[in-house]
Amino acid sequence: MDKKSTLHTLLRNEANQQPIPQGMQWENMQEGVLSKVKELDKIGTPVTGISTITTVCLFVVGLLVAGVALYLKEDSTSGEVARKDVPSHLVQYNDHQIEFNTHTNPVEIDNDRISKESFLANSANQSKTTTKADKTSTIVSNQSSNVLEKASNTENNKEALIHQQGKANSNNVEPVELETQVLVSKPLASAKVNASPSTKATKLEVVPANKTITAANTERVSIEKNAENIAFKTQFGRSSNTQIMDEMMALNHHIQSIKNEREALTFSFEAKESSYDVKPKAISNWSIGLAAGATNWSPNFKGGELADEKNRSEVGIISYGSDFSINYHFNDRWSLSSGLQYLSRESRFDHYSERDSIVQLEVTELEVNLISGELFRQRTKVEDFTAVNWTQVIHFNEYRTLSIPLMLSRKFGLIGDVYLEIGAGVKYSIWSFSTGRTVEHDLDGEMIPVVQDFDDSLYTFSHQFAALGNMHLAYQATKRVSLGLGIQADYSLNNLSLNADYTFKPSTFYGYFKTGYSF
Amino acid sequence: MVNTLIIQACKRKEHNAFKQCYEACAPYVYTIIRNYINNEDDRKDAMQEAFAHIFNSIHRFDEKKGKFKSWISQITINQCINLLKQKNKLALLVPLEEKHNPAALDELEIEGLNKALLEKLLAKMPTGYRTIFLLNLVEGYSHNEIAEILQITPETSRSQLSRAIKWMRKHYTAHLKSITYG
Repeated sequence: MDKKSTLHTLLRNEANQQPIPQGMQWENMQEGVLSKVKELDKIGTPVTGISTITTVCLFVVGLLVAGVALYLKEDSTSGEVARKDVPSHLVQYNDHQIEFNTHTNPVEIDNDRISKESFLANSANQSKTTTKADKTSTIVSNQSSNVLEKASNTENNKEALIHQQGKANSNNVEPVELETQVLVSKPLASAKVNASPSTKATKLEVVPANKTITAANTERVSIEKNAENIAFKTQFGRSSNTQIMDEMMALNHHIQSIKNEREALTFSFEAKESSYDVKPKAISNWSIGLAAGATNWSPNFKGGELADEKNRSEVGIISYGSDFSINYHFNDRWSLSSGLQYLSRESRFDHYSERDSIVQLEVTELEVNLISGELFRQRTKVEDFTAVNWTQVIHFNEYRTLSIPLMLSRKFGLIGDVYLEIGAGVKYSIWSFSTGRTVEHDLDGEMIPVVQDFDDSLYTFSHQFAALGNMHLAYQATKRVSLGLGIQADYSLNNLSLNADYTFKPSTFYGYFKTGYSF
Repeated sequence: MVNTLIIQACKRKEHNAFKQCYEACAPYVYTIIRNYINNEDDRKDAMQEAFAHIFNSIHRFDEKKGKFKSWISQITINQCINLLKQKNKLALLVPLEEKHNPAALDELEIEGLNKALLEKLLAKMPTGYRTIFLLNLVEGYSHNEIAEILQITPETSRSQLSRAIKWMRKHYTAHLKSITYG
């Protein structure tokens, strides 16, 4: 047995039978051990290969979906706003037709005059009516004195003055009302107008209140016009149909001119509406960004032979990172950003290792007379030999940080909605954690059990204070959403190593995909 | 040491299994800790850390890949090293520039060395020397592995081991003389 084995045997044999001190019984240790286990559970196991890639891919896909959803929502919302902002009464009245009928019942009255006045009232307020205005018209029998005064101006006592007055409510939310009055010297009739917005014509039906009134009473209709209203005078009595027709034609002509005027005004109104409704909403100075990507780093040790050897043997490998940023835009070009950045860096260190093992071999000893050649004795026995196995050992070290960056950026417009943003700043790690694992293979490629799985770092790092440079190429997909790719480099300004033998100021490169949203 | 059923129950985080596992393994774990750490309070901390890490990562243990005893031994040694690092007791492992004559293990006569004496000598040995002595000669780690664990160069590891062997030889010889000559 060699000396190593002897030492191992001396120290480890019968170790199971060794007593442990009184204070280290399970009853004394239970609480501390279990609380520590819970603490380690919270830290969790290190994220490894496939799960890391899956997480990053899901995150990027999620960002893309969110970006597309925001883009679609933006488009559909802007369409709705434009449509809603057109006053409904203008839309409805565009389709109205004017019909006249010389029959006494029903009498048809055009309501376009109302729409014009309604429009004038609304346009005076520069309002954006979004409520569909119910338009109702009523004709009431009125025997009040002021109405009778107006009636006295007519040619005949039996003359009924149908006074149609378009009255638009200046309040753009309230329904537009139309009041139509039938003025008579005697109670003759009550009538109502059904003016549904969906009907193409508004029909006024005069319902006889006095059964003595017949169709013959409607032989003559006189019309009064002024700038603000249209009055129908119906003269009960004899009158020629020709005169009625002439006056109706004149009325028709007048209403047509009003309709043309209304259309012109409607056009200008819509143009005016569109001129300020379609205007884009102001973008605030704040925006946020979410990014995810891959990292690599260059372990940069300095401090003599030891550092040189570590630089030769240890190389950075691809890992992952993500960040959330909040940006304040001073103007179109300059912005200040901060947030939280989580980066993981990994390095790999390969070497070959010799591992001794005990091999038992059968040995045959011969005792021979060297002169005569006579064989005295032959003995076979089994002896222990030390065999050296070479294995490939790979150490993976991982260093994770959560940092707060502060960066000043300048934006350069390129082509169309594509722009380049270049920034510089600093960052400080508020949390850091390091871990590592070791994998060993024999030279046939067969994996030997994991030799070590470090919960703590091979290196003891302090907090990092680093200089930061960033370049970000982005496409402004909508007025609020941007998508882009970027690369960020940082260089540690302080020494991360607490080992006095060498200094350690690594550089990290972080390539990322970023989605931005402006408020 | 611990049967498969207890290990499986530990993987399910059953506290009763933890107790059985602890009671079965504590003497062995304590023996390792006692070799690396001298202070009794530190030993208790190391014991707690070692078992916490054993129970926390027991789901990673695969019986097909190795023995449970070796596995807990590695975890215990790691925790001992970590504790020594935290207490800055490995400060002696600074690479030394001066030339030295390497001492081989062959120079160390261990005939007549018993367990008690070896433990006594190890307890007196400087922490840095002792750590490398144990890692290389008892646990079987190579110098490259020791270098990685302790953040030193393999050359430093060899150098420190050589010094540890010389130290052991000197003190063992002194001990033998003290016995021989009273």
